[in-house]
Amino acid sequence: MVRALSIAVWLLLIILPVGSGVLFLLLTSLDAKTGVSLAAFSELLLGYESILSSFALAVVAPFVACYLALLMAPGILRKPRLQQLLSPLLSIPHVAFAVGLMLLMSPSGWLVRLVEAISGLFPVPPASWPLPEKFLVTVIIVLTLKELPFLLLMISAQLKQLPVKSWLVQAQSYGYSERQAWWRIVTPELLRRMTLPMAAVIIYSLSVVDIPLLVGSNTPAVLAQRVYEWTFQFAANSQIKAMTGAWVLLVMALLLLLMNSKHSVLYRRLVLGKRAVTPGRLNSDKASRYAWGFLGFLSFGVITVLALQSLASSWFYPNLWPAALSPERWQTEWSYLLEPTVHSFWLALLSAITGTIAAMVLLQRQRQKAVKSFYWPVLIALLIPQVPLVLGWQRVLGQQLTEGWQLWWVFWSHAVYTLPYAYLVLHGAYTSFNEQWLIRAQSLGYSARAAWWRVMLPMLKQPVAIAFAVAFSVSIAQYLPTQWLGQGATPTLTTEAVSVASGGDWRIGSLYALLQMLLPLLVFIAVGGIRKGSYAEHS
Amino acid sequence: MRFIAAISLLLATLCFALPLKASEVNFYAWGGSPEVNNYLRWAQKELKAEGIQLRHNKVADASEVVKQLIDGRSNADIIWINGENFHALKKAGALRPIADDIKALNNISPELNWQSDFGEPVEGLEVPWGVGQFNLISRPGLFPDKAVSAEALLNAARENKGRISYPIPPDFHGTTFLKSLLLSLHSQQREVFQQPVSEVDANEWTKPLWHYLDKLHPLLWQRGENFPSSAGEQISYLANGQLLMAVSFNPNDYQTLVNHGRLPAGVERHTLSDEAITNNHYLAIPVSSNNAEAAKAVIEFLLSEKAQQRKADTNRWGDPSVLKRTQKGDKSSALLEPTDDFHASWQNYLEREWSARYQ
Repeated sequence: MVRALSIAVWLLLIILPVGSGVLFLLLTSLDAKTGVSLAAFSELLLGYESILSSFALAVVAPFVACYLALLMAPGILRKPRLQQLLSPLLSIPHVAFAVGLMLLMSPSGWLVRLVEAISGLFPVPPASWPLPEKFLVTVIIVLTLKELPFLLLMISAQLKQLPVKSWLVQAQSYGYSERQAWWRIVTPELLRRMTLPMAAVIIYSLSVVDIPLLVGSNTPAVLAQRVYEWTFQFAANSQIKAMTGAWVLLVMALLLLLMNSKHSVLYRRLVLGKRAVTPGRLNSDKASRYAWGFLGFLSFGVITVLALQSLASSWFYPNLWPAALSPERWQTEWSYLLEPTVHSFWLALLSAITGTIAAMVLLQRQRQKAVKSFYWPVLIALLIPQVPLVLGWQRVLGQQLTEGWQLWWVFWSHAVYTLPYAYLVLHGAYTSFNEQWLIRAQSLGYSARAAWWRVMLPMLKQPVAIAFAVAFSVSIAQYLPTQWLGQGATPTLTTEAVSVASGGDWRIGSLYALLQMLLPLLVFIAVGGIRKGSYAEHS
Repeated sequence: MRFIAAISLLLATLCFALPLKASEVNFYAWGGSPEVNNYLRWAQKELKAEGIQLRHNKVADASEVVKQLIDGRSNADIIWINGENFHALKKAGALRPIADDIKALNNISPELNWQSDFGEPVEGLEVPWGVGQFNLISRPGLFPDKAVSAEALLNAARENKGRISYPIPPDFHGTTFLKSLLLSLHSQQREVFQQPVSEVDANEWTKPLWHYLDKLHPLLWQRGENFPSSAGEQISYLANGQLLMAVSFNPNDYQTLVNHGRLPAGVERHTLSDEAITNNHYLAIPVSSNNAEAAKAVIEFLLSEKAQQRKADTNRWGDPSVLKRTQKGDKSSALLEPTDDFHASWQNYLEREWSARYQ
């Protein structure tokens, strides 16, 4: 049964989509008119700034987010309720978060307006401000802050699988401080289990387009953004550049993933190789508390400023508040919201369920075959730029797309993306699940199947729920597959939000961003409600 | 098992909920302006009375549809395009000749030079929907005169360091900004730019432009190291006080955007160089459309007196009418002094040269 299902998953959600996408990519790459060329390649390398900024972005943002998350994670151990604080930040769309952050902190943002209101220092927005509108560092900060909650969620899921408290107690009995025990005993194990979630974060940072487009420097922009822009310029020259750039991105991704897979080993060598030093001056407890406070403030601030924008009739510098608040915009849009909301909901629900179950099928098959390592092909869909991938699907599906089946193909395309994320989230917990539990259950007379349903599944409830929630929000965020396979028949909150936001009017953009956030928020809150102590403590 | 049953139930309900959409006209149009979206919602209601289901498929950029029409599949019945998107589709042979079938074209204003789109002959493959005129929107007092010369812009930049910018080419607003500067720098010889790049000494003609930009850029916002990604973004920077000017292709935007609370009251409209580079934006029907007859009926409606007048209302979209002026109750505001766009080949040339120098 598991074997048959895993074959179906491989065929439908990995080989068919990735195969057709790669085929399309290869065909266009080898085409003399549009294909990869050495000239374009050397031109790309000569303009190395793009590649460097992409590299910096994909290394720094995930790395900083990872260690910030590790610094803050002990907070979750002490107060599991803190996890609920993450829900709004997790569910807010990336671009909306960037916009909210800029509305708060940019040179014309709320903070500057507050200073101006009190002191009159800035009658016009200051030119030199630490967070300018267009700057690589701004992109890095936005991505770090947005990835931080995801990594914290991943860590909290792993913590439930480890007997962390008894480790800490034991370590303290050997004379380690709690902090030392955290960084020297818990962290190496966490990092090992975080390899895949980190891979997701790294790939995302490398391939993200919309945030650099909004707040990134653009002379030149990061490579992903340039590839995306070239794709939509129709001179033959641009198509060649786009294809070549796509391959360079692919190679960069593989390189970064290789580096990532060495991360935990390197950490062990660097940190554990040394003798325990006296703890630094930095009080990490206090720092962690400030970081949590800051995160809480940020999610409150971003949501408030988006809500105010959506209600504002107009709001110009240096006013602290909108000229007037009116529900007019909400009233106008209200009657048009049902259809996209319904589409978003069904697509997300079904594709998240499908993606999560498919991931469990693959992982169960891996347990059966006793393969602990990682099925790399699952990730490929995330590595290929979406434009050629979805064009490949359009070619393969052909007529199917115009006969009322659009909704199903959109659902399928979402499942192609929910599967890798669900797999990444579940992999650590699922493959490290202690076989002893199943053996004990079977020695008590349960069949293998009953042991899975009654012991393993309940014990993995939290990681499975988190995988579902992440998959749900992944589906909600899909723009290109929804537009292109849906052929306009499946508008979702995201397709509306992205197209509306393209005009730069953030009053209506905020309205759609808030709606986009609502569904995943409910799911994350529900998942955060599953509060069980660590089973591992009892082993 | 209950879980599996629940899922099958979900799938079954979804199956029945699958909507049947047969006789719809799929209109793919940029969805970034709430005013345009609301206008199309109105058109939708009006057309319903005529038995036509219009569906506005909002896209973030018209080039998304163009890409699908050329390299993939699309069910588009009408698309809203001009300039490079039109060139690409024309080259790919993806558009139907429709001009002969659209009766409303008889009422098109004779002053409207719609037979050429960004310098490319239209050949009946698209019909004009509205008028675009390149203009600057500025905070009051930034520029002394209605027409802003390259020199005046440089002076304003000197006096207001870091508060002037333009959208980054190849955004077509950015490229048109460069063209307008060329017109101002060569105000006596503007016919040159009507010829293909290959037939004139383009490098020589553009030298003053690059020289000028080398002087201008250090005075710009973020010292000319970064630029707004789009005209829409620049409007936001003007609204929140970062910048003192923005650019627009809608000659009524300086009123419309104030009416909608997007820009503060008092902003002024200027032309860059003496005249405004004037274009049209168009509607076209792809060859692949399954519903071309209904699509034509939609276009007839959008070009009707009623629809065009509503479109021109500055309390709504504010996009100028393409029709002949009628004597009674003509509310549409006066257009700017127009000048023709460059020959199409300049577009790519300027974009390439700009990006080689400044990107």
